[in-house]
Amino acid sequence: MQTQRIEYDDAIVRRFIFASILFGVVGLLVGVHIAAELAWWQLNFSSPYLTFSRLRPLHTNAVIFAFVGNMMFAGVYYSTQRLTRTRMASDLLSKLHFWGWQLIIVAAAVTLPLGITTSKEYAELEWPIDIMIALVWVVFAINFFWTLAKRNEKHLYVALWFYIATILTVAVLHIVNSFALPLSLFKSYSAFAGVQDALVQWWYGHNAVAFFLTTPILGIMYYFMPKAAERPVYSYRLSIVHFWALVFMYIWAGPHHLLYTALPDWAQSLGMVFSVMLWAPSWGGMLNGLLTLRGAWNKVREDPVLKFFVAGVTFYGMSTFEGPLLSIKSVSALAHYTDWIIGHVHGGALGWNGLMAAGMFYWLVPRMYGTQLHSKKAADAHFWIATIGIVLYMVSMWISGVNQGLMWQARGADGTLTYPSFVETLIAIRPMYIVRFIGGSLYFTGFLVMIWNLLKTIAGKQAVVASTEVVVEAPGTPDPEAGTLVDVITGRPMWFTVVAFAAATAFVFVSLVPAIILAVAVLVIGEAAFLVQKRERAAGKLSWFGIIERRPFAFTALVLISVLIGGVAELMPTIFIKQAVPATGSAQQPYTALELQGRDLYTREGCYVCHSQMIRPMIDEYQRYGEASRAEEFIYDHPFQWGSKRTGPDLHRIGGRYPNLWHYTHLMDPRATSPGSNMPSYGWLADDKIDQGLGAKKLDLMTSLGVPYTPEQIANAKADQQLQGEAVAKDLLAQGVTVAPDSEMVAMIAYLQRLGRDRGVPYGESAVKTSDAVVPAPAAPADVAAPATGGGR
Amino acid sequence: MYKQFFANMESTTLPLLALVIFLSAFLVLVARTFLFKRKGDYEPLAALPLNDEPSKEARP
Repeated sequence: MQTQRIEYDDAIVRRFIFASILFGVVGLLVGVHIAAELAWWQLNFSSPYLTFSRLRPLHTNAVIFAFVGNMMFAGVYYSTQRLTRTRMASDLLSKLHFWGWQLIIVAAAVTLPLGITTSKEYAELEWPIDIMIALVWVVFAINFFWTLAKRNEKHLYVALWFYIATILTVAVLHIVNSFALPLSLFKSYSAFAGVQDALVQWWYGHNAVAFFLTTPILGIMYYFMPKAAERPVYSYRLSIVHFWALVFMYIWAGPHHLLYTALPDWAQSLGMVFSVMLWAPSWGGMLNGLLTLRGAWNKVREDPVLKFFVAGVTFYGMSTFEGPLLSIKSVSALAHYTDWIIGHVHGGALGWNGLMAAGMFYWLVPRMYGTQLHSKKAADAHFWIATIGIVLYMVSMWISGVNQGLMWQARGADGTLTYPSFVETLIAIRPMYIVRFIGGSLYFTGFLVMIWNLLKTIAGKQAVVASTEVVVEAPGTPDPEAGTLVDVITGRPMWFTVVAFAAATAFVFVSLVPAIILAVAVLVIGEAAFLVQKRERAAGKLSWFGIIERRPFAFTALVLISVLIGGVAELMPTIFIKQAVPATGSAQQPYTALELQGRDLYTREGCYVCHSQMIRPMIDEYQRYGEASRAEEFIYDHPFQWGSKRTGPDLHRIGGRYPNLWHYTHLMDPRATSPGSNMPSYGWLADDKIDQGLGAKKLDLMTSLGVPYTPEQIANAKADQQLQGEAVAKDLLAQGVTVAPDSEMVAMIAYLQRLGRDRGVPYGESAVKTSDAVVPAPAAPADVAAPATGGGR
Repeated sequence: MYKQFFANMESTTLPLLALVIFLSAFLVLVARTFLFKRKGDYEPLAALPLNDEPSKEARP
């Protein structure tokens, strides 16, 4: 045994903190600006690069991956070194991780306003950046696990488990959701289509929230909250229970983003139930955090760090209460597509992530410079400004969301819609958009106060070089208590689990008597497991968990299995079973080359940010938008465009409802056709041209994804585009509008006129199942404004 | 038997069964956590973040 002095690498922590704060300013500023755009549409200054639909992905990416991402890395690097009592394994890898991640953020900041996007929410970045993300993540993982391997502390503290789960799961999610075929350096198409794409996307999307915004921050909570409160976590045992419950269940919850959509019902139900179950482990974590302050609540009054942590964890509790509530189908029927979801998300992002970040910065920065926080009063002011800002934001969005949901559903005594014009519902909530803007601005102001305070704290100070002394045993010295890998695999809990699971599975497939025997067997196995564990504990033998919590790689394998069970069970049936998505043969027609070009413009402009393409099977949606959307209608949609929010109306059956001139006028000046609309003008579509030469290339690529284009269609793509474009342009010319057949405007109109035209079964013969009645479909939706005059098929 | 089992159930039956099993298991575990708290079991682990000094349990 010998004593060794370990010098921690805190330079990397300071870098990540600086980057987090810098990009926090960018992310919040863009957020405030786009909030203002929803209230005052003119604020895009007629620039495509400043338009809401392009900037919203920039806002979400900046806040999630740049602000929270960098904050999370700072917390991970700081706490991992202390908890393992060793310096990070490689300074080079740490630097590669830092600079690689910042490069990704800059790439996102450049490409997203340019409209270079996959259109998959929180995964909008195109394939070269996706590859870069995967590589940088691998660098982070190697550095992290290498550090665990060379640690000078036997035990893996619970914070490290959360980091392990984060690293593994984010890697799995990112890789699967990024499967795509590239068309060019800046354009790719998702390998999945329609229902499958939606399921994979929201499996990713929800778990980006779970494993990027939640688990690492829980790890940070478990490290920094006891530090700040100067007392250990309330219940370490509870942390074990809620960790395993959380990582196992979170992965199943994704389909709650797709309730009442064309996703198979079983997947929706599964998503809903697992979301409700998540209540328990989430609150387990929340209570464990808050109860850590038992006997120390008086400190919360004086210590701004604890104030931020307590409020952050409380917001976590609120968000994880609200999330399961919103996942219940009947609640989702009202809340989905509304601002309620936006309020919910920001309760988590501003409350949980933002306040935890501020608490961590206030605790870390003075310590890293060997000084005290410049002004506790300013930190208190930040706390109250931020809290009031969050409350204004959340309450305004709750009011707005419930208002929207109720107005969309409202029907009069005669059964017709009370508010048939979508714009009426938008005008009603505009005051709430202004309140949201004020709330967001207050939060941003608080953030600026924090920056001032931290800058004053470190002004003229030198960074401290932190170090500690550890007792290092000679290499090769066996740990008498450590089990082997064989002990892990042959451990009784493993066998009990396997046997009980096999018995429970067999129960379904056998007749009554063996089933009863099996059920009893499962109970006996459980009882035996309990007794064996009790006897071994009495004998002082190290428990199975005691073995794995010292073996990071065994632990990692178990986490991976826990995560994969949910992913495989949920995704595989829908992706690989052909009948999962019914296709109706020739009724389904692929897009023409011009429509496909228009579709790419639809994704480039981010139309999906405000318009859904998924009509739910509800009577009011039927009356407002037409027949409910069905799974087979999306089999050629790479990527899907169902959207998640309706700032504007659903567009799935917009095709043929209005003449081409209406679409032209609407895109040039939305208020000319829809007075009161907050949609910006997309006038540049009339000026810019499509590259007709790309049409054939796109069709060819689509055939690789399984879309049945014939060689003739591919060969004639350019001529077909010209013909279809000329038909639209001619129709517009007849009404006094001159626009080039190869303009982006014409391609966009061709796509919009196509939407919802393939109904799979002859129109008028189907029945639409609604939430409270089965209504036979009429010959056409009730509020068709005018017949199509061309452009569509 | 499995045919009858599946034929007579709604699509929500299995998930709801899972919910009941899960909640029961979770409540039992929480009760065990709070009611049978054995001091000493996890105290050294819980104290790890509070102790940045050299560990006596250091390993290579």
